[in-house]
Amino acid sequence: MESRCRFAFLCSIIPFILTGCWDEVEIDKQVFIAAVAIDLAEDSDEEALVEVTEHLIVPSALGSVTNPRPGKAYHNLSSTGKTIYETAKAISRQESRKANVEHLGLVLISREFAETEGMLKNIFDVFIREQYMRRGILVVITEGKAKEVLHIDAEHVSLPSVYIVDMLENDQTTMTKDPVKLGDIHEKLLTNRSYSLPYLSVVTEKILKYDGVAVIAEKPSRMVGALTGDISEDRHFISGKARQSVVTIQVEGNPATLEINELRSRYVLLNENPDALHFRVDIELDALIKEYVGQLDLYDEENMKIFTEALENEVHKRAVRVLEEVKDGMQVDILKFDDFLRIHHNELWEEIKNDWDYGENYFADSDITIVVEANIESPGTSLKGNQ
Amino acid sequence: MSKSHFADDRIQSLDIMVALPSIVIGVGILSFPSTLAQSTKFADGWVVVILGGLISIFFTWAVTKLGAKFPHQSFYSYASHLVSKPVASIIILLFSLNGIFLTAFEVSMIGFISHQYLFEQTPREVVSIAFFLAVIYAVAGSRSGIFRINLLFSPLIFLISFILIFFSINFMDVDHLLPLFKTGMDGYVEGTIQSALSYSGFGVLFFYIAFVCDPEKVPKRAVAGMSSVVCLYLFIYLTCIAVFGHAPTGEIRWPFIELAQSVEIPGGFFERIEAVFFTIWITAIFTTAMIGFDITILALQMIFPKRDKIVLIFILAPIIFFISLLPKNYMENHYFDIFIGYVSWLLPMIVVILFWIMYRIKGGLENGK
Repeated sequence: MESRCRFAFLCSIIPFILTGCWDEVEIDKQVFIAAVAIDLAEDSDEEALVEVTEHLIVPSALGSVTNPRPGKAYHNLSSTGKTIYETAKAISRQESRKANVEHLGLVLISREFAETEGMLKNIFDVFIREQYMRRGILVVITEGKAKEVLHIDAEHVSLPSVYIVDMLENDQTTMTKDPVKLGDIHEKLLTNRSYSLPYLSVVTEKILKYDGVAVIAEKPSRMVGALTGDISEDRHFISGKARQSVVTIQVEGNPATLEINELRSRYVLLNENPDALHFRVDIELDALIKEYVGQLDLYDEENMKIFTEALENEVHKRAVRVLEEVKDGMQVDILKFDDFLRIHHNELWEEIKNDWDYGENYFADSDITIVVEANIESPGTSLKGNQ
Repeated sequence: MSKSHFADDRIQSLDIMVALPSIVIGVGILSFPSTLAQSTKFADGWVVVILGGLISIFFTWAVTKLGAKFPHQSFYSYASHLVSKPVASIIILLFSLNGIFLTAFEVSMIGFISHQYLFEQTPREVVSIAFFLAVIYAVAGSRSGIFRINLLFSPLIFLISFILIFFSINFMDVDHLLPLFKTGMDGYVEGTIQSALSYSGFGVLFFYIAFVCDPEKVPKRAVAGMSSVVCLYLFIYLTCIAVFGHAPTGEIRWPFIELAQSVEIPGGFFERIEAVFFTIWITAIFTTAMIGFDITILALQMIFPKRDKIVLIFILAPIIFFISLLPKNYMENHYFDIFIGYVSWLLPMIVVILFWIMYRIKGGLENGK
């Protein structure tokens, strides 16, 4: 009798324990969203604001490393709507499988969208709020339509999203440093700071290019411009991340190319009066001579000085050009002077932070002096210039 | 006739050292960085983590020191000596109520959080009851079993937390920690209270110290147990601030879960550490709920000595489960959390102060009495 009771008791309990069936996840019935592109909605007859394109990957279509399946393993689906989440739900009506957001790694935003005031700020919330998404999602701005970037047919990798993410993460040159993560943007949004995002453009059907950085101002909240080419690279002289960047100087009429081996920059505040802020940026760098076709003897003290001075002048010139563009032109602080003030002059910062690079714009009114100190660490394996 | 070492209900002071982190580390560990970041600036929260910790360590010491004055005496017997029987009964009843609410809260939270992160489709109640049945099973057995399971789980909780912190190093930014000491006095006071609240749970020592075979060592060991929690919390707090920055930490609901999600172990082999994290964290909640329930049973057995333990468990279980289903949304849960936090702090705090005063007046029990 007792054992029968127990049996009955167990039977009534066990169904409750077997809860797995509710949340059963079949990998074959899933499709993974690897990237999301956000554009302005074109047909403005409705109330739609955004056009969302999902870059969907079907894992079984990828095949294995040794035995890749031919053909595309991805497809892009688009829809328009008022909010991102609503639009994503609309997209799922076009999809036969259940969309999984856990592997979302990239958000592309078109320049046009970012330049529209107040739009950019509002789209990040859904990515932060959604519990299955991660703070490590990379965010980029694209020159043309963001969804077109997802159609890039790269020759060496099968998935466009993998191509873009790899490009952002491998720092081959100085420009392509600093991929920006969603978590970083969250911080900037919460502290009302301006920031920069990687800026990509499509070169051909098969090739993308890392053009520089897009500058996003806090007020008015929109993209104010892009730093492209050399300037986007040279900003690292000031921010102190310019390792591996290459500088070509003229020494007595002959070109010499040096690579920066080590670079440190330090900000100093000389005048604390908010209306006449004066910063000094000390840049210390070690460089290697990589290419030189002149005839100077590099083991001569005097000649080394000539090189050093030429390098210092060149770096100084470039840093000043960056300041002209960023401080005087865009008037947006993406060079982390705000972080410097917050950390080292906190009282002053608390006073001026709401008028830093907007409103009164103390940043644009400030003076910045640049001091460069270069050191030629090594001439390579050759003593004289070869000609 | 030799009895197995673990068969009786005697425990060692070492078990107390391990049990304390088990009960203190519960749901609070997920959210405390957020609460502290709201009242302090930048990384200054570490000060309040330590200050709050010191207060908790002090009270832990006070409780165990008092208990050590009455070796092998049950709480009921020394409480009735100090404050008379009726008052002792009321205090014990309050402790058992506290235990009921604490257990219900943990059961409820496991439902809510796993509903959000793990099982979207599974009804909250089903997750809760599956978890609660395991708690009931643990409590229904011998008490030494509870201590052994603590001994098994506690090191794992610490290990996984430190692995998580270790792999976060890559994501840290020292700029987030600076500048130092920019919080005002108000912030420190508020933060210290908040941080002390996240260490609640030392009240269980009142009850468990009676089972210890070497009570004179307990104060030291209990303080060590509490200090290890303070240490863990300190590292978790600094990691959260260094990884997320001050402002986001204050805005993220459960920074510790977010941390587990953000951290990627390099190499892609084991990218998702949060799976392990949730497993371990659920065991941490499990030990908290288990001890909470056990204390309730223990307390009630003192007032109703004739009632069988199993009967008490089966009377209480539906009540606890019912209470755990009462919060219907995050706001109600939040209030429940605050309520539990204050009660589990104030009750043992008031009791220990009262007892020490009475002890100074009345003195201890005569030996052999």
